[in-house]
Order: sequence, then structure tokens, then C-alpha cells
Amino acid sequence: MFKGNFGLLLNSFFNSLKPSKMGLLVLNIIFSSVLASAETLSTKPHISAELVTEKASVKAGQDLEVGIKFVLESGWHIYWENPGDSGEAPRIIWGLPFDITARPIGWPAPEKIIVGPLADYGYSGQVLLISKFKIPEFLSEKPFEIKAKVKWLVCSQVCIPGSTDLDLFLPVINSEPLFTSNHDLFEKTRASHPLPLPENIKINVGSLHKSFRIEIQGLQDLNQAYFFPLHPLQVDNFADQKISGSTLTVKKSEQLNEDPQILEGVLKIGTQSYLIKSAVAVTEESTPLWLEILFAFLGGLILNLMPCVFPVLSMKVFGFLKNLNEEREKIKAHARAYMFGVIISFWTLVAVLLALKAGGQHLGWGFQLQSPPFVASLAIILFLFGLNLVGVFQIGESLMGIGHSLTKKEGFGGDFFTGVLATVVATPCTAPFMGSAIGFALSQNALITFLIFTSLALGLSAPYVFLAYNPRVGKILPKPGPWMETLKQITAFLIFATVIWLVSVLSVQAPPPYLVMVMGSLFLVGITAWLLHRWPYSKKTRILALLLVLLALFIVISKNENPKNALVWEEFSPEKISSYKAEGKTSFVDFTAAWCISCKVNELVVFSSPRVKEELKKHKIVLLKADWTSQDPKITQALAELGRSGVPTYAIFQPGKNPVLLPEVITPGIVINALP
Amino acid sequence: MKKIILLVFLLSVSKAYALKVGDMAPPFSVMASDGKNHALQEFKGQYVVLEWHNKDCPFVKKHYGTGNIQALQKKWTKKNVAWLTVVSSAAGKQGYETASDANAEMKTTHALPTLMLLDPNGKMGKTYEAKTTPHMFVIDKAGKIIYAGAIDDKTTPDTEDVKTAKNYVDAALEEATSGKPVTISSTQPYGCGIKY
Repeated sequence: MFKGNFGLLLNSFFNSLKPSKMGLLVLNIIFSSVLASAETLSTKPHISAELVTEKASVKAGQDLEVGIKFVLESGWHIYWENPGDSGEAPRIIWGLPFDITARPIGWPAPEKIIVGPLADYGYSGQVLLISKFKIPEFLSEKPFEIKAKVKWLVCSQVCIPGSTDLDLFLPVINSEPLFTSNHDLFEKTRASHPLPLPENIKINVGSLHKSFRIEIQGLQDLNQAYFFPLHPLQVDNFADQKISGSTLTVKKSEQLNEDPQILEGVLKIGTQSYLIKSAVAVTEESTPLWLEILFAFLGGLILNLMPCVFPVLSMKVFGFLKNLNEEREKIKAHARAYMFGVIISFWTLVAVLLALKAGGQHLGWGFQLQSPPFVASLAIILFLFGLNLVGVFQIGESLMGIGHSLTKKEGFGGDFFTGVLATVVATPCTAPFMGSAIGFALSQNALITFLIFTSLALGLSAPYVFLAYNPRVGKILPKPGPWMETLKQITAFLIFATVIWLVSVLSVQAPPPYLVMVMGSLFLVGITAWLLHRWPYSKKTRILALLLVLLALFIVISKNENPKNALVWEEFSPEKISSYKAEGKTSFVDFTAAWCISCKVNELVVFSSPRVKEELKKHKIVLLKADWTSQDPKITQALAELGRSGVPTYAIFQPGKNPVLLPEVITPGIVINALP
Repeated sequence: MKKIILLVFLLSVSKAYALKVGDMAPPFSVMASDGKNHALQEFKGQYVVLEWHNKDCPFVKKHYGTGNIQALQKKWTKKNVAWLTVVSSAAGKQGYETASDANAEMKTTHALPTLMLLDPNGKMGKTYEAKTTPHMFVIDKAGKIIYAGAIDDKTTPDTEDVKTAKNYVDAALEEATSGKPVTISSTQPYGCGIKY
């Protein structure tokens, strides 16, 4: 290697002389020009990368600072350690002799670069990334080779990745190395490195609902302060950071799920920058807790007026009005039982929500409505309730025997369960103030969450409790009369509207067959109501009615098919048949239509059979569904080619064989036997 | 009445959370390269993958040049997943495509998305807070976002890194289609900034 030899030559020449200072300078100049002929500089479009050292030689036992100097065309930038919303930080992979490792790159404080609605962090103009090497005590006299593989992303409006391999030889000399012409650049760059926080400056980081609050004590003024986060997904890079007094407010990233324990980054104030690594404390909300609790209470109160809850409340009030003559203490006790019912139900819901959240589920309020069996069950219960309200049937003297306990016995159980019912039916509804209170509650710790929901529960149960403790007010209310019947019936229709809404929710959540099952269950409920209407006094009827309702609930809860076991049907197309045949796969085509009853019966009987599913999966049969519900000439033609003109039609296409047709009425046995 | 209340409810809750994994995917209605308007509603009952795309971005080229995204598209569209490639670059900016550009690109790259959605006014991109190309979202059959973020864990534009990278989208779809919860559901996306 020419370079190596020349270097050696100069090295030994250098060592053998007793150089004068002038001589050293001259040789240094020669060195610099010689060394420059190694591949230290790479020029690409918009950017150049140069491997530079601060000193002209290496001395054993003395640290060496080396860096990559990037020079960028105006308007172009490269990135910081945390590039921000987009981009990629440059990487340097050093190759050093004797397994010397390089210390991590020193990153100068970056600038914020805005492109459209995105904000990145990086450098423009010129930047030097320095790495320090620890040089061992004993070095051979061979020239010290420094290799660097540099990768970067340089962007303006568009981005261009680049990479280069640079290398440099430094002589190994005993005496104090001289500085190269890059010395000033190294000095300036080191000065721009973020400093650790000095003793006189204290930082406190607090977490608010949507932002971090960084309190800085010990600085005169926070002009142009900005916090550059070290880790992604913590801070909203694009947002401005507000300065007020000695506090810097940094907006949290929308993607942040849970507060980090430590906030790390660079705090730039004017031209100075500091390394920040601070624990994050949860601080007082800007909306004080007591206010959110008040909101929750108000929300619960207003919730009573919502169509979901109103019928339950009015039921309690009617019962109350009819029994104004009861002992005051008893009335109050009933109200308390109701209140506990509401509170315990809310606590249960919140406990389940928190438990699921802790288990890693991303849930929000209303999560129970995301489960089709729950929505279906709610629809069934509400439908039954509505039928009662509208007068199809009665249980005992008043509604569903729940308000009944008020007059008859000591049973506070009824009140408790009315409370539970009120909570359950309240969940699809929401009221003003509730939304923000709930959102706040769920972002805080468990204790606060429970506090807020308790307040909500108190608000919900407040009107009835108020009435119970102030019966005089009850006297102001209109006397019981026919108006109560009319009002009951009106609320019944509101309940039916809720049922329709719940079914519409199901239509998005679940496939059509499930919807049909739910409507079947509602049909069962209708029959139940009629039974109770026709034979109201027979105990047998009551038992039968209960069984029917349980059956209806059972159907919707258990028939929610586990996706794991469901068969996967692809859409049919003639091209798919040929392509699967070419791949050696057998396909089973079900020509069907939504209006074809025999098709649906066949599908229900055959394709829900576990044996059939197993056989289909075992033979790796591809399942194709040709839906002829609406006109489709391709399907019509496919049918014609099979010699059929209607649905149902079942055909098996095997590679290398003619299609096999199954009869119009199929059983699991027929299908399994027909499989290859 | 209920719809309004529900809307108010959803709005109030959504403000508290912004757009995150676990939220319902926001509806959209965008012209595709087939000349027709398409809405999210159309794919109800299917898994949907949204892939923000800029054909000239080096990070996107890394995945298309190695056939990585095309293979994913083929694998999952066969399983009835709707793969929607979205181009939100504004007219005159890098990556902007007309319908004929998009159709031509699909031919040359052998891409197999269900549709290429053209969003030059950036509305869909901003609704989803899409930041980079590529930026990936996976939406389940009920319309809930189950993954949002990077396509894989090697944030470089180097083609060698595709083979050794862990693909988050593939993993999320594998887990979701076998009934398991998605283990890694949110990552920092990487790539070029979207040229709104």
C-alpha cells in the first residue's frame, strides 16, 4: 500500500529527527496535504461528508477526537438523534485498530425544521458530529487507520439517502500532537453541545392532562426556550411551546398513552442548551378535581332526563307518589337502597374497565357497547321492559314487580336492582358534562376515576333520593292519575326507539346472520309478553315466560361465533377457479343468495357442523361464495356452464377433473363424502 | 335524538384521546384510481390496511424495490383483507399521482392493493394524522384501529434491512385473524414526511 509505506517513511523520518518548531510546522502542512489524499471527503448532491480530526497525530494513552463534518446545500438538512416527525438520524460506524471503541456521537443542539404540518429536528448549513476514542497506553508504530462508514438522509422537500466510506491515516508520535486546521471547528462544536444542568439551575417536570409543564428555576429569562425530546412519541413536535414566567409548557404527543417516568431531552434557551433528564410528576390539573366531580354530579343529574333512564326514574317516582303515606323512614330506606344499587353498578363497571385497561386493552367508556352479546342482551331486556310499559302485560300490580316492593314488603332488593337497571340502561345514553368528566376520570389514576364515577352515580340517584327525603315536594307533584298511564306509554315508545338504535349498532358490529338471531330473540320476547298478557295469573305462565327470556338471552350470547372457528369464504370469480386449479388447490363454490331460503337452511345445517369445518380445513379446500342476491352476469354464466340455472348450487372444482355438482339439498355427510 | 347524543358523546370522548389505537377509524370518502369514490363503510366486515405512499420516497422505494409490500399485499388480500394504498402528496409535490399515474405504477411495481386512494388535498391524511411514507394503519372488522405506526422495526432506507426487520403489519394481522390481541399496536412511524 503506497500510502502506508509513505506514512511509515515519514513517521520514522519524523521520529529520528530532533525537529525544530518550524520544522514541525512544515511537516504538519505536508502531512495534512498527504493525509488529505486518503478518502476523507465524499461529495454528493446537496451534501458532503468529511472525516476530520482535531489533532494531526495520535499519542499513546491520549484520547483522540474525530468527527464527520457535513456541509449542506442551502435549504437541505440532516437529522438529530431524534429526527422528529419524519426522517432518519445519520449513523457512523467506526472501524478502528486494536478494537478501540468510539464513544457515542456528541450531538449539537438541533434546530426545529417545519415541513408542512410536520416538524423535524436537525441541522442545516454545516454540522460536525464528534466521537471520542480512548487510545490505549501502548501503540505500535504503524500508522493509525481510522475508517468510517457514514449513512445519512438529507432532505429538503424531498429526501435522498446516502452513504459513503471514509478513511484516514494518522501517524503515531510520542510528542504532543499538533492541531489541524479543523481545531476551531471542534472547539466551536463542543461549545454547542448541550451541557449537563449546572448546580444553580433546577428543573421540575410535571404532567398535566395534555402537556408537560417544565419549571425552570435559576435562569434570568426564558427567551426563546424550546425543549427537544430525546424519545419519539412523547411530545407533539409540531406544536409551539408556551413560555409563561419560569414555566415552559410542552404539548404531549397525541399518541402518548401513558406518561413516561422520565422525560429526557435537550432544553435550548437562547444559544445555551442543557441536557435534561427529569422524573415526571403528576400535578394538579388546570381543571381542579372538585370541578370535575361537580361536572360528574351534574351529568348524572341530567342523565335522569335522557330517554334511557327516564322510564326507570319515572317508574320509581310513580311508585313513590302512590305511597306517599308510607312511613317516612321506610321511604328513605328504599331510596338509599336504590342509590346503593346505582353506586355499586357504576363501581363494578369502572372496576371491569380498569382491569381490562390494566390488562392492556385500549378501552374507553362505553366499551361494554362494543361487545355484540352485551348490546343484544340490552336490546332484549329493554324490549321486554318497553312491552310492559306500553301495557301488553303487567307483573303483579305495577311494573315488573320492581317498584312493587315499595308497597308490599321490606324487600329492598327490588330497589337495589332498580338502581342496577338504571345504570345498565344509562350506559348507551350520555348527558352534557358527562363526557368531559368521564374523559378526565379515565386519564387519571384509579382513585380519582372511582371518585368521579361515584359522583356520577350520586347525581343519577339524586332526584329520587331527594324526593324520598322531602316528601312535601312530592305533594307538589301532580296527584296520581290517568296521566301516569299516558306518560308510561310514551316512554315505552322511547324505549322501543332505543331498541332500534341498539339493533342498528349491532348491524355495524356483527354479521347479518347474528342480527337475524337477535331479531329472533326479540320475537321470542314478543311471544313471552303475549303469554303474560293472555294468562296473567298463572304461575306456570310466569315460569314459562322466564324460561323464554333466558332462552332469548342465551341465543344471543352464545351464538356470537368465535372468529377462530369461522370458515373463511372468499368472493367467487371464474378467474379464481382457474388460478386455484393451476395451484393444485380444490375449491368449493357455494352459489347462494340472501333471498334463497333453502340456501340459508343448507348453510346453517352444513357449514356450522364442526365435522364439516374440520374436513374442509384438513383438505385445505378453498371456499368461494358466489352471491347471486343481486344480478351478476358472471355468476349466471358460471351456473349455466355447470348446467344449472338457479340457487342453491354447490360445485367442487378439482384440478384436472370436471366440476362435481352436489344435490340441491345437502347434508354434512353429502359434503364430506364429495370432498376429494 | 340518540344519534345526536351519541355524536356529542363520541366527540367529547374523542377529544380526550385524539386518534389512537383502539379508536374507531374515522370515516373517509376518497376518489380511487378506478375513477370511483370509495368510503370506509364499504369495507365493513373486513380487515383494512391503510398504507400511506409516495413512490419517490427512498423509504417507500426500499419496500417496493425489494417486493416487500407487494408480497404483503398479495398474502393478505387473498385472505380478504382490504389493502388501501393512499397517496396524500399535494399537486406539484413529490409523490403526487393522478389516476393514470397510479394505475401505471401498479403495473410496473406489480403492486396488488385492493385500491389506490388519491388524496391530493390531504384531507384523509390529516384526518388520520398520517405523518410519513410509509405510515401504516390496520383496522379490524368492527372498524377499530388495532395498529398504527411504522411498517417494520428497521427505520433506515437501506434495502438490506428489509429481510431482517420485524414486520409490524404482518404480525398485527396474523394475531388479529387468529383471534389474539395485537401485542405491538403502536409504534413511531418512519419515512419521508408526507408532502401535503
